[in-house]
Amino acid sequence: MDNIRDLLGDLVRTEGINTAVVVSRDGFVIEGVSTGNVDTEAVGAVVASGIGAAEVMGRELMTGEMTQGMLEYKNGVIVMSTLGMDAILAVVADLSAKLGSVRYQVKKSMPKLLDVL
Amino acid sequence: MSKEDVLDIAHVGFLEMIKALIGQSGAPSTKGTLIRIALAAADKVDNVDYPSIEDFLTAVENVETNISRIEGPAVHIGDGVFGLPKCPFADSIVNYKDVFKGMPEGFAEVTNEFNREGIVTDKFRVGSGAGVSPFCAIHQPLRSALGNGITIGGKKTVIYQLGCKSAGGAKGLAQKWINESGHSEELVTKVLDDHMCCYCIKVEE
Repeated sequence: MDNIRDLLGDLVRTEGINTAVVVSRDGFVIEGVSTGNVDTEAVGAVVASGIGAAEVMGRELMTGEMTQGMLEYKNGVIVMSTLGMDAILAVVADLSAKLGSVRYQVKKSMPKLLDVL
Repeated sequence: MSKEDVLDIAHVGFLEMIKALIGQSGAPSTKGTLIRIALAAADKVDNVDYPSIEDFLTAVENVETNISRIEGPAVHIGDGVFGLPKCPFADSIVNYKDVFKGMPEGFAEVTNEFNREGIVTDKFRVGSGAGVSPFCAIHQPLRSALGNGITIGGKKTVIYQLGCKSAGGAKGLAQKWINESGHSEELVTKVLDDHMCCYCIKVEE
């Protein structure tokens, strides 16, 4: 069975993805891999509050449980997915990434990550 | 109106800020934020070495350690177990209750989150039942992180949070840390009869 680091390593080998991190719901990093200068600890904290805010929004607007969120910025995208009740997968990609491919790779990795968490 | 009747707006504002955090980003994220605030504060404090355990205990008594400076004087019960007579957040609670007649919504959720197993609460040996309010998510990790910066005779110290008591008198025990530290539940319960917080310090061999 792969470990979390191997699975995140597979994700960052996808074209355009530079960071993949699994964080607990309170924002502490369980494991993170980055090909750039991204501080994965800092990613953890902001991802947890970001997904927390998105969940509150979903609750207020009665759109059900959150499964995935994608934020598009001028220089890249962040895809955040809930990993069960206790963790979050966040992937950072630059503009060279194909969004369909990023989402596909994230979706493919989710069951494997859930298995090893 | 006497000077004592004047409320501390910083206390009231701080509790309202926690409430706002819970409302805007949920209890797990709020718990994490409170812990990160504590760890960032501890990170700014210099490490200290005490030549002997007696020197350390004297410094505790005189409110000279980094820990006693943030939480006030603790009482050494014996064998490294300490009882804290007053919660350092007691004044905040009193000030807030004076205005709002109760504690903010959502605080219980953060307390429950703090008591769940987590990477950081395990690393610092806090929570796990010893949380009785969101303030514990600041106070306990802060104390443990400060403890990591204390050496006695050059040897590292580790702090175990054993229990805590709410303003209402409810006791929260950290069974996991009580077992791991080798102290008894009876002792912790007894310490909490007369104190608000119970922890132990062990010197690593």
